[in-house]
Amino acid sequence: MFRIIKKETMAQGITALTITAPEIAAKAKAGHFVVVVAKENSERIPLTIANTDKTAGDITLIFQEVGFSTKELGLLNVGEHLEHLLGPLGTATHIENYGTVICIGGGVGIAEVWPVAKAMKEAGNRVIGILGARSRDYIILEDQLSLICGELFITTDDASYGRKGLVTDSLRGLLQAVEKSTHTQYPELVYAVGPVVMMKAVSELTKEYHIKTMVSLNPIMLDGTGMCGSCRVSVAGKVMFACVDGPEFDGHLVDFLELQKRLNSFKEKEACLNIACPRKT
Amino acid sequence: MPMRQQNPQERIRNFFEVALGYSKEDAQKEAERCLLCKEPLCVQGCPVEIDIPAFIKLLREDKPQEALSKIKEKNNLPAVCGRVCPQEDQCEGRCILNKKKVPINIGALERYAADYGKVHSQKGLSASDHRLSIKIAVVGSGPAGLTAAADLAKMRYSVTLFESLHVPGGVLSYGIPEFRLPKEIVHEEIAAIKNLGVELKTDILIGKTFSLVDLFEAGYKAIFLGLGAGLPQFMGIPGENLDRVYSANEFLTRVNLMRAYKFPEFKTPVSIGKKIAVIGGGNVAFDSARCGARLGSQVSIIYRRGEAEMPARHEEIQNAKEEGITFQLLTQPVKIIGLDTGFVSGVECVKMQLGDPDSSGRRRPVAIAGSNFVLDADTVIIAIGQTPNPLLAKVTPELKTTPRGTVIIDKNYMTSIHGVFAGGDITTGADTVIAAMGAGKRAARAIDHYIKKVESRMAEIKKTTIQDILSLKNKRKITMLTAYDYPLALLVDRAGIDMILVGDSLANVVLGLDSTTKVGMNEMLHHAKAVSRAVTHSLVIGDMPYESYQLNPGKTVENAKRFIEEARCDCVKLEWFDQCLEVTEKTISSGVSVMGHIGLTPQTADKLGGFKVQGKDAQAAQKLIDQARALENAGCFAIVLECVPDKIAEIITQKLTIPTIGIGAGMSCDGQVLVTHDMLGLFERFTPKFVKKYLDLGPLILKAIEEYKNDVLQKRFPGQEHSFSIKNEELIKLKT
Ligand SMILES: Cc1cc2nc3c(=O)[nH]c(=O)nc-3n(C[C@H](O)[C@H](O)[C@H](O)COP(=O)(O)OP(=O)(O)OC[C@H]3O[C@@H](n4cnc5c(N)ncnc54)[C@H](O)[C@@H]3O)c2cc1C
Ligand SMILES: Cc1cc2nc3c(=O)[nH]c(=O)nc-3n(C[C@H](O)[C@H](O)[C@H](O)COP(=O)(O)OP(=O)(O)OC[C@H]3O[C@@H](n4cnc5c(N)ncnc54)[C@H](O)[C@@H]3O)c2cc1C
Ligand code: SF4
Ligand code: FES
Repeated sequence: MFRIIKKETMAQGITALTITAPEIAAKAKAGHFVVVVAKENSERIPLTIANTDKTAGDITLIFQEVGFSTKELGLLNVGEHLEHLLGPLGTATHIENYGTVICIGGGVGIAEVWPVAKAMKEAGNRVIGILGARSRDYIILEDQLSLICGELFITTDDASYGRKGLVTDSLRGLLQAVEKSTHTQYPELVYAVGPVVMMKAVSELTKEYHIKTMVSLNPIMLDGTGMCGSCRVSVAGKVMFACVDGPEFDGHLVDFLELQKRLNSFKEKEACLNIACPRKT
Repeated sequence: MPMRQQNPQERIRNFFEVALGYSKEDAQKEAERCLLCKEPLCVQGCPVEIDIPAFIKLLREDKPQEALSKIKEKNNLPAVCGRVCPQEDQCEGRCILNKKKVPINIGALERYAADYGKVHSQKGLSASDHRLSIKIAVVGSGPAGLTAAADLAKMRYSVTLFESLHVPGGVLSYGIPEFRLPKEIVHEEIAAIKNLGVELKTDILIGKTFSLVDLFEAGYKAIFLGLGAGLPQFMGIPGENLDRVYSANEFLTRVNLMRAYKFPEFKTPVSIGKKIAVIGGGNVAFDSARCGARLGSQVSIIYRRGEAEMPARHEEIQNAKEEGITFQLLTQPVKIIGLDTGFVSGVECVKMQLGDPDSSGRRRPVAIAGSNFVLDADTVIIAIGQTPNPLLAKVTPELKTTPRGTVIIDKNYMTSIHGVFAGGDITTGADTVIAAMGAGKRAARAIDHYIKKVESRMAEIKKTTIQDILSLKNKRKITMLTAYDYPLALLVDRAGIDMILVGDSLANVVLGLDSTTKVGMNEMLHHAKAVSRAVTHSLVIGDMPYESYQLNPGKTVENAKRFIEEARCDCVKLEWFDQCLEVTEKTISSGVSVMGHIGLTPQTADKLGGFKVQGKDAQAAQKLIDQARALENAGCFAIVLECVPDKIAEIITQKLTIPTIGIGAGMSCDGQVLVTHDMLGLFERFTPKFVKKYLDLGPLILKAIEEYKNDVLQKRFPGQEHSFSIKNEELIKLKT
């Protein structure tokens, strides 16, 4: 049992839970995730470790309520417990001093890119941030990221904040500026987390510019330890288990279409759960 | 006699157990049939050698509890084994009555004993019982890990069982379905093991949450890996990543562990259509197929050989047929066909025929060209095998594996990492429950041996204390030798000698002086320091030189302290002289332990009339006895008796409560001391009568040195192999 010591609403439907888990905190690095089982009958769901306090021995998870399990999690309060928590899982992000790194977060992906941006900065990189969301209310962690990123660009679908459009519009703007300039350079790495379509669009754009791009994939997972294959994705035509081989892969090699389709596997079933959801929405 | 079963029409709509087990009457009737053979063949077929006729006899006598105890002598999980063991290949297959095809249904009887005998709570240790402080980590809670943990707990080790999933049991929990092995039974077995004092920690993935090094650092003295074979194999054919294509592991984990069959009460979904194709012919395929049927689908099993070649248990094949599962035999999938939406719509297969036998002795299936056809299916479950999960080996390169991914162990179940053991499917690849249990059992025994060996070695290298020396009196003889430098002290210590004396014989045997009285504090400290640097086990004694106390009694305490503080000795030795008692008491009350020395005391040999045996007449002998007593009263922890008649030494030894260490004082002393250089034959000038030369090192060394001299003179040394070279071109450059 893992105790919730802090709960914060980041945006409508986006919640941050801080949980006491010293053993996980001790090992957690940027790019790691955990598997959460909220209650005895609950699903096992994967969530990125958004923040770690190693001295206090706690970790923070930031999640968007998209279906039954995330809503169930959102109903838990400070003082209550998560039934099970397993981690840290996955292969941690490879951090080095690349030079300039552009970190892109879309929606709740902003929470997932946060630890990576932080680690990249600590390794001496110049970090540029691009955050995208539906509207102003869904831009989270702006203050934290503006401390890390030398430049921070924000896009919203409805133009309620920052630039109207998609994260790729900002990214294209940056890359075109370099193209025209005589003294600026292309970034050495682009790192993107968010909806599959967003990661796909970012990867297609950076491919034109031959800029190395890492994406953090979010296939459906079950155990998170490499024993079921639920999380399999195709990378450069090879089958990979995202929970152990990833979840980060070279965006130029990922079969995003297949990933998108595999995320629909349980749609029908999930719809039926959502009717039974404790907090009907 | 077969067990009663739920009828197929009914059971296909529920997940309750299919086989209902024997009633008391059934069990007795079946037990009556047993011939109670004198040389039972069934026992030979049992991998853990349960005394089968003995437990069957107890069942005949209607003593299910005693029958269960009998089984438990050999098998920790009878309720599980009675249900899932392939008895037809093991005990029942060997039963003498199988010659007439009517073997005793041993599995059903084992199950009956387990189910009816369990009211009787298991005796033995409980969590609160005294445990050894030695911690052992068991990783993986499948049959191998559970058995190893239980056995180690019974040996009183403090056992922690780590499991990555949120539910323990391994395949018993996530793989084998409820209708074959009710989870309640698995949980009862696990509760019993917890009752033995095993601490269970779920949600810990070894290799991620903790590394093996972390476990050793946390104080675990040995680790057992029972990680199973959990990595699902895929076929590598097109379409395997379509929606509703599952590995059997994923499908069974969703259905059994996560209880998707109770969705939405349990929240994990499994999505299946109306027609499931299961690929494979083993137990895993059949469990998947029968789960699929219970979830309401039509199921066909695709297998590339014939029914007779199927590795699944015969009983499962029968059950599956009764449940309406159809077989596509001699058929191999070549492609999974999908819709634009990403979901499966069919499986393209090719027909096979059996060719020549392969390495396993089974006939190799060969594709029939042009026989391709499409099997209608909207869900595909791939059950073609599992190999060990490579996760731990990947982060632990020292853990050696075979190309198949199985962890390599020696005959003592130890892996390539010292103190790390393994057993079960992780070492064999997918096998059986009972084989994994057998491995867990034997590995537990090997771990026990290993720990005992390590512990006894630890005890040996433990630093010896004054207390240890005192407690050896009347227990075993005490050993003591001298050493004056690092290399020799290293050897003496390694040999496990109790005490090392940095003696003032340094003067004679090392420094070439003619009297021990000529060596001073500085020389003694210099050599004592070298000895202390080498020693981890022995008690180190600094021999107080003549000048440090006999010449300056007032400086005794100060000098004794220098041996302790500067040279890191554990205590000092003082020879008897006029003011001996007084300085001894002072030294001891200053906190320095003292060893006494009476009889021939070389520092005052002149006064004694030379190097002569002491105490030869009654009066002299009485004097020695009185001195010894006085030294004991003064607080010495031991006394050296040098050159004393053996009978007198015996008397002194008997009278004292502290140990006597003899040199030339016979065999009755509590211990013996010699000058190492004497016993090795390194010091030639003079060898007293009491010395036994264990080695004549002097002439050997001499020979070696002469050989060296001759080699050099005759240019036989150094040779090419002892020389360094430089590239030819460099040499040329230098010359030009
Ligand atoms: C490695 C990894 C890290 C993740 N980190 C985070 C995180 O930090 N914060 C966060 O909010 N989410 C994260 N996710 C996604 C999160 O696991 C899912 O949102 C969650 O499992 C959905 O469960 P649900 O029952 O609430 O929704 P469901 O009812 O199961 O699904 C609702 C909708 O979400 C989609 N969905 C289902 N599972 C996933 C999934 N694994 N990923 C994406 N979409 C999914 C479904 O297709 C469906 O349309 C991560 C996923 C992975 C694989
Ligand atoms: C579906 C199915 C049906 C079967 N039917 C039968 C049958 O009828 N009869 C029979 O005799 N055999 C059967 N078998 C085979 C039998 O179950 C296995 O041989 C046996 O369970 C192996 O035991 P094990 O202890 O080696 O491993 P497992 O039972 O596989 O247990 C290993 C455990 O280790 C855990 N683990 C793995 N890695 C880690 C890690 N890094 N850190 C922490 N924990 C970890 C796993 O989660 C798992 O719980 C069947 C197997 C399957 C899959
Ligand atoms: S079970 Fe079969 S082989 Fe074993 S003792 Fe009975 S009759 Fe003999
Ligand atoms: S989630 Fe099961 S293998 Fe990755």
